Amino acid sequence: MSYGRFLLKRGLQGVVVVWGVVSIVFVLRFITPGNAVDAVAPLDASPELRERIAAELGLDQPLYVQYLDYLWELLNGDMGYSYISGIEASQMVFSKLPATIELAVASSIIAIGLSIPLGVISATRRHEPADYAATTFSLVGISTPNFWLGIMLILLLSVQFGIFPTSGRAFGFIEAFRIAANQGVGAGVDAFYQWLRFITLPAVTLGTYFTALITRLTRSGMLEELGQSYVRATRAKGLPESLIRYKHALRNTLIPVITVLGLQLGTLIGGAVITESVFSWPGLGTTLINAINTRDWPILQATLVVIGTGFVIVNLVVDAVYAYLDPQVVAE
Amino acid sequence: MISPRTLRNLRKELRSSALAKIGIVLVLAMILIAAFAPFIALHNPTNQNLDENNLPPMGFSRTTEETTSEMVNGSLELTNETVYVNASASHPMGTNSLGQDVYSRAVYGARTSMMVGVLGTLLAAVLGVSVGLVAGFYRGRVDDALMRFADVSLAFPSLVLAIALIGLWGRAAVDVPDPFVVLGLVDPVRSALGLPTGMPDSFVLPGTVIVVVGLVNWVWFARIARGEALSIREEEYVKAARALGASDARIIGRHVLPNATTPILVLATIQVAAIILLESSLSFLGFSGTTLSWGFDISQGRAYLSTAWWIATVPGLAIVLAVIGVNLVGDWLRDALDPGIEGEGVSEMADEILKVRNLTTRFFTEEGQVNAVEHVDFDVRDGEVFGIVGESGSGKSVTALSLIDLVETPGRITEGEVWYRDADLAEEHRDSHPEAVDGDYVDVRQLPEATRRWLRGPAFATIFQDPMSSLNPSITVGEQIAEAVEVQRRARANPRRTRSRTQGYGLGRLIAGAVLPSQSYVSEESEERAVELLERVGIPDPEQRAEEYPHEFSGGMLQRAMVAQALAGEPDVLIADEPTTALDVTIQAQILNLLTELQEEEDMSVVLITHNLGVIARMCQRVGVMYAGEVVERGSLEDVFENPVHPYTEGLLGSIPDIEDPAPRLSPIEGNVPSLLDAEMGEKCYFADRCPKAMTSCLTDIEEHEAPAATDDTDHLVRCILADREYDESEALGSAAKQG
Amino acid sequence: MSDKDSPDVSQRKFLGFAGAATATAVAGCGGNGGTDTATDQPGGDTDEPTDTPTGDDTPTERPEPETRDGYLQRANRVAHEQAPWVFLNRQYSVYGKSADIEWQARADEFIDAYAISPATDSGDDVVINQSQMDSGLDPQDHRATPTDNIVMQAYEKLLDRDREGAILTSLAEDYSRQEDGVVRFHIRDGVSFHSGDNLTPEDVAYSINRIVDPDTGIASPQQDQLAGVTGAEVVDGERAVDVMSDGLNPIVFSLFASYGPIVNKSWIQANENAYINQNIDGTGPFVLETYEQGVEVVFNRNDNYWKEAADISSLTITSASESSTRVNSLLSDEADIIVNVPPQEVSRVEENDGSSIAATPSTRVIFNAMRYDVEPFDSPEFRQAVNYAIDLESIVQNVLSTFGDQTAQPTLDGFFGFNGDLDPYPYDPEQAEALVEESGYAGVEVELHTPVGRYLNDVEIAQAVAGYLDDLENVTASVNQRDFQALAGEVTDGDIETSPHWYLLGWGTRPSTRVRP
Repeated sequence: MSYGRFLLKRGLQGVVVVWGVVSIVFVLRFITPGNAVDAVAPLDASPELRERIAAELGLDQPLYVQYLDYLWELLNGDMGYSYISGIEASQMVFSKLPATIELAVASSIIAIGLSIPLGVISATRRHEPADYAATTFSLVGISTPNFWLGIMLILLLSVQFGIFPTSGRAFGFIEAFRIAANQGVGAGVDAFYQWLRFITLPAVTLGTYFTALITRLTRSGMLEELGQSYVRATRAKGLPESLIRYKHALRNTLIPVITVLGLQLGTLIGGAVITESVFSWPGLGTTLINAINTRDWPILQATLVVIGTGFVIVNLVVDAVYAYLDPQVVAE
Repeated sequence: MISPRTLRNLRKELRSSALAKIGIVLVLAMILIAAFAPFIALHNPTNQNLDENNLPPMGFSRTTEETTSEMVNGSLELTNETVYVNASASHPMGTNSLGQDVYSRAVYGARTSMMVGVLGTLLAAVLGVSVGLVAGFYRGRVDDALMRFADVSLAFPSLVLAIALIGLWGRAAVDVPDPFVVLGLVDPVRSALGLPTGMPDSFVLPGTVIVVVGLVNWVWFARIARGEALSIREEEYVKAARALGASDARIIGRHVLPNATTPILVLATIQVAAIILLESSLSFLGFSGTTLSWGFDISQGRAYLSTAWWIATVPGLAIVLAVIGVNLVGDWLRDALDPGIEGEGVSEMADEILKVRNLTTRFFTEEGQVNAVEHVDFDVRDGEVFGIVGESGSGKSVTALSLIDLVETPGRITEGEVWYRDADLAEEHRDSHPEAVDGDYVDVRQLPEATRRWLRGPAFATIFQDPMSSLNPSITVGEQIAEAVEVQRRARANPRRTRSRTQGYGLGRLIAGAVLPSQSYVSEESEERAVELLERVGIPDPEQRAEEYPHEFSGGMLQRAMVAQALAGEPDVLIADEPTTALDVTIQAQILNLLTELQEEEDMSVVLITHNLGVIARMCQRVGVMYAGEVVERGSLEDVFENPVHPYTEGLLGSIPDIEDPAPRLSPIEGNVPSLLDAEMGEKCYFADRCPKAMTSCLTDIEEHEAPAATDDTDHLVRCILADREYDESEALGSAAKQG
Repeated sequence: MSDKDSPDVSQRKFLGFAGAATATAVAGCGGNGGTDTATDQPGGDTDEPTDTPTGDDTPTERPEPETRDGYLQRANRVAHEQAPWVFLNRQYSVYGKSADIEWQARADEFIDAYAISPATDSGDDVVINQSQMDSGLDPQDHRATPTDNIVMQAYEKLLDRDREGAILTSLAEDYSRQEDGVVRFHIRDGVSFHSGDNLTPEDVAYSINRIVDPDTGIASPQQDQLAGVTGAEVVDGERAVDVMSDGLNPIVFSLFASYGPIVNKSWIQANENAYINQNIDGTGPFVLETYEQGVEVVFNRNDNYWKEAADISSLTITSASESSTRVNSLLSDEADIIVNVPPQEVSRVEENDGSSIAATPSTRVIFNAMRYDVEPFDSPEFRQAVNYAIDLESIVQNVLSTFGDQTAQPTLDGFFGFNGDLDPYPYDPEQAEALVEESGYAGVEVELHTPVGRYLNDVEIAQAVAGYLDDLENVTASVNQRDFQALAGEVTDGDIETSPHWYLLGWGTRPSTRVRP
């Protein structure tokens, strides 16, 4: 199978999964106690008004009609309007998306940037202090709840030392770019500096678990790879050790690491929800919790659909990278 | 389900790992605390005492500026007052803002965490394993549908889904009567211990949380169970059971489940840790049915971080310790039950215009020191094929690895010299390392690591037994050969041998290489040379094959590729370690022909390591026979094969296998190769136990002796007293000695 | 008209215990007159469950009070005996304030940014960090203080109040009573909306009708805030609006000092609800700059304001439900005003160089409501037991560190209907246990629903209350932490069935004694 066909196949599977995601959200609504009309209707709605609202929402239709309507509206990018503020759900969710993506990307960068060298050092200097330090860090890292870590970081670095802001987000990365473009380099640098100050603690909080996890995976993967025959054979042909470690062993280590990362992406988003809550980071997580608390169905629905679809898309990317790194995947 | 072997592994792993011990202690402590909470807690965890709120833990005192307000004429006046609060012995970890005992709350919090962790995992496991087994066992559409459903549920992060479900379904909780209270044990015991009575008579199980964590985590179990079911379904004995009419349920229960136990157990442990974290996150966010939870206490303590840090710190540490404990137990189970990753199985292998002297390599394992190669001497001449023959475990492969300095930990070359002839190299090191230079010879072992590495390729090249595992599966064959060419090309371009090749390939280059082809390590010339080399070793259509990955090659073709790779450095010595063992017979002959042909054309020396006497007979000019880490007899092929002196050699030659016979294992002599554990060895002839001609002096005389050579160009050396004297039955070692 | 089962309705409801007529008085109680003896019901309670278990028995024994104040006092006394609620405390508004600004807290909890002036250069851009964000910017489609604090920086009312509660003119420059049930407001000239449209009497009439008449645009939850008002119409030939109300309603003026934001008719009619909820076209001193729902609202000074422009040039309102987050934001100079500084953090704010505490007794009373129609709260004995079980003094002392007053009734000292004879229930757990036995509900389990972060130490007060009740031998009590908007929604949704059985909320008594959660 060619790489292109492989991608196409995975893409089609992804579409099926997205359809499943969307359907589950639909089902979720019907296995949830409480009537949608209650949430939408004005406080003093008469029975007639309630009926009218039910009809407007299409709730008087047979279930399959409602389902098809729902799919059709989703396809048109229509996810309804917030029961609370009347704002279009898609607009609301997509306006929060950049904050969450920024947070997820920043913490991934921290995690990958730290963990892979750590894992490699740990594996290649087994039983040396560096290894013990790295393994201890990774053990504690995967065992520490991130909300607790976030609180402690705020206490220490924001409250005690005042290095970072305690919470919130000044503006997005893109806005920082815009400032740089509109107001010159000085203002731009300052904007990025501000952006960085705000995102650092949340990103570190969210990234720690992943740094720890990937360090562990990289370490054990490297140890396994370095024990493989081809490594010895590669050494025997006189390649420099760094080339053996990075190009040969690490590359093969990264293959399973990437798979696990893809699967753990959910944990990353879940972690983002709680990190956002600790740092009042205005992203999808905060939106989700608000929507649940206020039973704002359209928003909740839109959030879940966007998170689920995002997960599927990122996993497609992971699959593509995976297949690129490991040619056997395409063959199978 | 858990075999004695598994138990042995568990015990062994536990003995050797301090971390596993810590993990077990932590988990046991947590379980005991959770179970016996009513006896361990100092107070009823929900009893409040507002007059004793925010008491510091033992050893601390609290000094705060406390501001109180008073309404004076409708406006507020604030008064500051410095308050000193001392710890109270009855609240060792302090109290929270409601005066509840922080320690007792942490103790009861352990109950919630453990119950949710265990019950949630159980539910997830039962659900997941059932689904996975059904999917894996019935395959087809059922499998497709179930796995697609699993994909879909994976798309919702577990915390997100849990929040959504709990938020929508409510936070139902179940009151479970505390068995100890019901049995009337708590109050008497507590009174006897002098503790306050009145502990809660029931404890709140956050039902929705347990159901939800089960529902959001089943997928992982389903995947594992499915994988196991898929593979086991194809096993012969399962097929046989089906043929005999066993029901599906029986097959799943008897065959599939037991095999899946290990991975499921390991996963379950990891899940317990994950669920404990998930539960604490949920209760931190207020999505739990109970207030006796670590996460809840952290959310409460958050408002008091600056004044009463202990409120949030104690439960936080409790979570960290509990999860560390469970994770460590998980690691322990994984290492013990699935020893693949950290296992340090020492694969025995080894090898090089060469004078090898007194080469000794030992492995320092947990069981003790293993003397894999002991005082080995031999020479390899220009343009000859030197064979090393011996049974498995005789140390011949470790000898090969020792020659190229690739013995892996826990092994180490402890002694010996490898003198390699290279006039330039000798000149270069004559001043810096005088002890390593003798005429044109350089003792490779005394050169710096960088130089030694540099010699791999142009001085010594190696071909290993299994070509498939000797190539990186994820890099094209052409590129791997090109790497070998490139490394030499770069070395020549920069003659500072010690530096040139150690520089520069790190993570940055890996990424750059992945993105920009121009940044990759190998140059185009090297790639072209790689194609030439492939052609040279007889691979048809080399340009096309160079682009292919190892899995696209047949075994014979791969071994040719390995040879091509070895040729890349134009080596002086080619070490071939069991080059044909993994191949089928006709291919073996082709590879051997290729080696002979190349050896003649390239004027290399070859060290050929094999257990196959036929191969030796066909290929070699001279040969060394290894036994128990020693070269027991060496000399020209004629001397050794036609006039063997050592009884072991004789035994080996007892049945000369011919080249067409794969002869996988040589065991021509009764008995086994002795343990190479140092403790069990001692100063004697190691073969004496098995030797039909063993004599009493064999226990003392272990020198190497010169035997009469049939040919005059070589020495014929034997590590056996029979080289000097005849067998004398009167001095024969008794049968007792043999058995000993 | 129908009504909402909001806390004030419930307030009325408990007054129903004291006799039907008194409800009127509560609904119509004004700050400016003490002699009215209103007898009809401006609010009307037509939809409301009127059957109460004991409603008709008690009051008949007492002589009918002569005055409205008397009605209220009697209502408070009866309510005290029937104990449908636990009155916990009068909350103090405890704000943290940065040294960069000058500002004084108001008793009605509105943070009037127009009254803020910079003390330093950096005080020119003010950031307020409150506990919640808005639920949309439509000024007439909400009824919660956090939203008011946002939208009322940009919208204005006909009348206004100063810090002490005295009535001021605002968009109306004058008002007079025309006849019974008709009050005429003269609309100020030269006022323009942020969009540039001039304020007209049509806008005013439309605004009032949009609130009181569900057929005008939206069904406004503020309908009962203008209780009694039936409609408004433009006066021909005059720059004035007549406001009609049911019968004699002496308090219409004061209602319009607290309620009734004025919107731009053409702007409202031209736009979708979603747009109205994300944009502002008011007449107030601040103009909306950016609106990020649930995150941040930024205003700039309105330089075309009809009064002198505000002192500060920009105003940002943001929120954090976690009190420590708010305090941290103040201490690290990220915010200039924060709401609800918890008592344990007060000294931290005070000791910090750049910040101080601005505290004032608020008009908000924190209470626990018990639904009289469900077990076990249908038993007066049980409700009294709940009152006896709680050590209010200790809660005020330890949970609130004295930042609150005990109270025994919904009416504050100095307001109409305050009954000086009433004392809070004493802390008497034995009596409480005995009453629980008497009620027949021994062994019952109850759950207290509380908002998180809405009021000063709300969760802890709730925990302490539940803890005291749980300490009784024969009751088990726990706390359910809820999102404020969800909880308030259940309580105010007009259906008593959806309300939690036992919940904590606070009502703010504005000078008109109207109530806002």
